Amino acid sequence: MILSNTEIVKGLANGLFKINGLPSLDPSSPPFNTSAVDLRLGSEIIIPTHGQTQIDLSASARGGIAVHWANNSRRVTISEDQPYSLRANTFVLSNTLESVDFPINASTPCFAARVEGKSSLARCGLLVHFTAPTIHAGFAGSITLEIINLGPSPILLFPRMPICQLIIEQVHGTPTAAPNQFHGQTHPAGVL
Amino acid sequence: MNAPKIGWIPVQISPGALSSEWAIAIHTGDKDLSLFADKSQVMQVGDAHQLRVTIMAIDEGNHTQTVLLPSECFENGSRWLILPV
Repeated sequence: MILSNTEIVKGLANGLFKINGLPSLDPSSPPFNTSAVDLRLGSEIIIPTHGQTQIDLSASARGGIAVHWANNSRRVTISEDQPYSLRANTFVLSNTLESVDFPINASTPCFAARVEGKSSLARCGLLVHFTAPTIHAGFAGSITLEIINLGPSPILLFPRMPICQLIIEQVHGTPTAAPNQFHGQTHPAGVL
Repeated sequence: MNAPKIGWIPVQISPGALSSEWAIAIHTGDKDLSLFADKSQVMQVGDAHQLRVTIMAIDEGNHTQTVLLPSECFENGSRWLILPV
């Protein structure tokens, strides 16, 4: 069930989940919509660099694939004076200014959320996520955005601009271990 | 154990793509797993680092625990991990 603006504010007040850095907690004004809350763009743009001709997610390079991605991208800091001009058909990563926390707690309801774009930006051709919009129960941190400009013109990205909306839903029941989800793991992990 | 609870597992960290995150490497018996995690989810213990996870179940017979990572690993697309207790 999607939470209304007032229920989002209640949930925040009761500590059921957290959205850190919201500019206001008045449900009848921005950043709240009737059943969502707008989040803003952070101050970093991550530009993947050209590298290998193919990506093999099954490969286990030293340190894992995450290190490979971190080492094969360029970080740009943006500001009000120096926004980032996202050209047409260009993909970058960024994150939200706000951070969230959706804890798993057996004694209180659990919540999850979906990141959706804003219609005003979508009409310009700007996608801020594609696939994988779900912020699952148990996640904490800022939300990574996969941004691509499918419009015909470059779009300027400014820090703190409203960039996406968060739709929060209550999880039915408490998440528990699901043994059939252990993909390919044959024995317990070791320690360092 | 019935209720999920917070736990910490040893990991290796390196700079993430965003300044707010670490690139996390988890050494398992099968293969190395990796993910990005917000820096708030990592604590330093001496020279080592630990990642905040949710302990979802404990198998006392096999001396293992099932943990939920903060986000999915690149290598297997899963947030679930079995570790020794």
